[in-house]
Amino acid sequence: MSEELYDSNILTSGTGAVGDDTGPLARGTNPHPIAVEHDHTHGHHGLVAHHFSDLAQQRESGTLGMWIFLATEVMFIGAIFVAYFTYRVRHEFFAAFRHGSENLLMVIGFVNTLLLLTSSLTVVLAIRAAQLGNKKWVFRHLILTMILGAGFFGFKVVEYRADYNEHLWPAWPNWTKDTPEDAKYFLPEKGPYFTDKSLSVEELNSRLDHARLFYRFYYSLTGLHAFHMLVGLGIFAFLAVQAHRGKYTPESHQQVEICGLYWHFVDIVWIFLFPLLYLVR
Amino acid sequence: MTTVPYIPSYETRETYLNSRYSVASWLLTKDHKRIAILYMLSISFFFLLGGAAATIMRIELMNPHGYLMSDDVYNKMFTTHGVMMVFFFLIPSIPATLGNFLIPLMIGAKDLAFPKVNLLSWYLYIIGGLMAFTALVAGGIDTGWTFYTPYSTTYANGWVTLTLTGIFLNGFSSILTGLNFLVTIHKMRAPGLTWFRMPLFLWSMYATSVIFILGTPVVAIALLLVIFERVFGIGIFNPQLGGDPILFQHMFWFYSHPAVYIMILPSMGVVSEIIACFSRKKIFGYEMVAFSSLAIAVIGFLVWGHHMFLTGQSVYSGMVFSVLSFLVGIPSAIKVFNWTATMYKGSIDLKTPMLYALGFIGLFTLGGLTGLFLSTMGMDIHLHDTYFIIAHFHYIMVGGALMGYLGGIHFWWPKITGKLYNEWWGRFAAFTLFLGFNVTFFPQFVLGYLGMPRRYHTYPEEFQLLNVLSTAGASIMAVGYILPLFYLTWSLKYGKSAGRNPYRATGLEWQTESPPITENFEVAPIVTHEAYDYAEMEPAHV
Repeated sequence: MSEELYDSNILTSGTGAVGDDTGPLARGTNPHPIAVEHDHTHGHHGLVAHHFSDLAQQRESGTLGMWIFLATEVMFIGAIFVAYFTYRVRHEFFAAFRHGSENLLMVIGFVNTLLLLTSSLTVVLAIRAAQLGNKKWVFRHLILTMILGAGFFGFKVVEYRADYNEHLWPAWPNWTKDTPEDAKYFLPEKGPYFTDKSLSVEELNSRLDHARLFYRFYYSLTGLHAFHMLVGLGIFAFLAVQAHRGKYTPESHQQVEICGLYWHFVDIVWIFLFPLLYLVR
Repeated sequence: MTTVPYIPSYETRETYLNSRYSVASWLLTKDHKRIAILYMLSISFFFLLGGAAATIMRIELMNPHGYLMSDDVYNKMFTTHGVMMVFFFLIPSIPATLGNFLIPLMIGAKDLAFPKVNLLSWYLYIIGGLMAFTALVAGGIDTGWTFYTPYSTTYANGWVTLTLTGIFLNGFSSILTGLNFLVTIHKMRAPGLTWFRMPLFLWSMYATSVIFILGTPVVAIALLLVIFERVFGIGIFNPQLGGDPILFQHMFWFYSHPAVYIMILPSMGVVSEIIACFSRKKIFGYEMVAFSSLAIAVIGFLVWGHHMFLTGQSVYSGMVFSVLSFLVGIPSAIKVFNWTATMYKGSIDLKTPMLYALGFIGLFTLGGLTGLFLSTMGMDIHLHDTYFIIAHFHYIMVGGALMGYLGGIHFWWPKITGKLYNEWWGRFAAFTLFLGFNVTFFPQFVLGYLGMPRRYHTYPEEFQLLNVLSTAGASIMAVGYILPLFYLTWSLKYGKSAGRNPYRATGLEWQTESPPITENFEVAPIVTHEAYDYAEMEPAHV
């Protein structure tokens, strides 16, 4: 029978005899056995999506998915970190980065660090509350997380505004044309490093150019971080609505756990950003 | 012969294709099989766009004086060709179509782990593709597909930002696809399907997904920083603003070299399936082939500097990159030797997919060996930015990746559509493509060695003969591309029903109906045997 089935004419012959019944399984002679298992044994029908066989598989898949996503994020942010270090280790940039950092608002950076670390705590408390079945506190902790995150974001906006007023925006409005009057848009004023009158104009301009690069990293990194915060706030708003409806039970609160992972990641990125940008002074 | 149990034919049976017909049921589908079809149609569109640009370039190059178009238009043509082919065809080609369709079937699952994310990734792809398409229609860009700074920052027009945004979105589509595949392969395998029972296609998709996950974000951030520079003027790469353009090349090639393995690894997986099936043998050295996929993915991350031998990096780092580039040759060679060893004393049947697979082995070997020339630093100084490079990577990307894609499409076409295409036309198209490809690109090795640089549309008259030959080959190749469009489409209506397993191949995907039902399997399968169990399937045959 095998020869018949695998007759090479099977693809080209005009007999029309090739139907859906040629498969080895259909003939009941399948030499490549697959046994049969009915998948109606699992519980939690309402909680498990149709393509998962049970709740554990669904939970593990979701968690693994988030970890893999975070691996992507590490490479994403990590690439800018590497670029930062590429310049930072060079002699001519080292001092410019240090003195550029002195012009940043340390107080706001510090307060924001505290806010963000605390918000990671509240996320964990929300997960704990869900594990204990305390639906009211799941909601409250999620709201608290959002307030702390929004506080961070608010301070960040205030800080950007202050930076701009302090002439810390590194781009020249018309930067493809190298005109002297554009230079006034970028002038870190704290410390004598950039304003030392005893140095030549060329020397000062070169220092400013190197400091500009620091500020480009500052805005790129904090901007991307702030974007991740915004996404996180959106996610937590969704979670809070779900929590308010009492969706999170001790058996099923995986969404909070997975989004908590994301939030911790955003937190950890900031823990690297804070020293690299604020503490290098 | 025992009696044949009645199985309703394709026309009356409910399948994933005919379960629902509305447009919304396609555009909002979460079925991995339908999403694969959406991808197949959309990548074909972008392939035709990129192919049209290539055709125009080849026509222009028939004449050494470049009468047909200006320098600027020629620049836009090769940029269009590169952007469309690399980002919107080759990178998603096998993973997003065959991978999407086959991974759940091969592991005995009902769907990928995250069906909604899968649909999202198609939308990101199509939006990104349409952005790049809009940029093309609106005036095009002339930076080359590599977007080197400062071409892409200081000296290019406004459509660069739109194109880069499109590629950025497309990158997220790749990342989400890779994420979905990794989780699915880790968590959704049928009972009994251990790691070393998986078909090699899954191993290669796994390795590809790792590159998606770890490589794509780096190019995404590099392109994002170029966008920042163009929009806000805060460039990291602009020397006028204190930055370093070479840093862009590092970040770009950190992804874009592994991206070559994104294109070739899935094809290698397809070829492993085809070779085993049409030689009726278990693949020789299964573990080695599986691990060589991972080795290519890992070493591939460490070789990007060989694109930059001439950018002023130190001789020492050049040597390190050169040695590492040679190392990639080892796992690639392992695969080639193991495929040929599989065919040795096999019962070889030269069906259409097998022709593509054999073509792959030959062309990939040539492309890989010339890659060794290029990773030799001294040789590379002579050959850098010449047509030798063009010929080399087309042997990999077209001769390798595209042959694998077409071979895979032909191999699984009966599974995807439930229909058989015309075998004679299939073989004819495969042969035409192989012939046309070699006539097109082999002369380019010679051209490059003689010193014709890439990206020029005028050249000394003594190069004309080889250029005309290359253009002639391109027109043969075009026939090879267009033919499948006709006979595959024809088969949809007039083709014979394929049956579950027309090639008598192993693998779970062949155990279900063709085309499969929406849930893939009537009963959840359990695997008890290793992959490629052809010996047991067909004892002492032929």
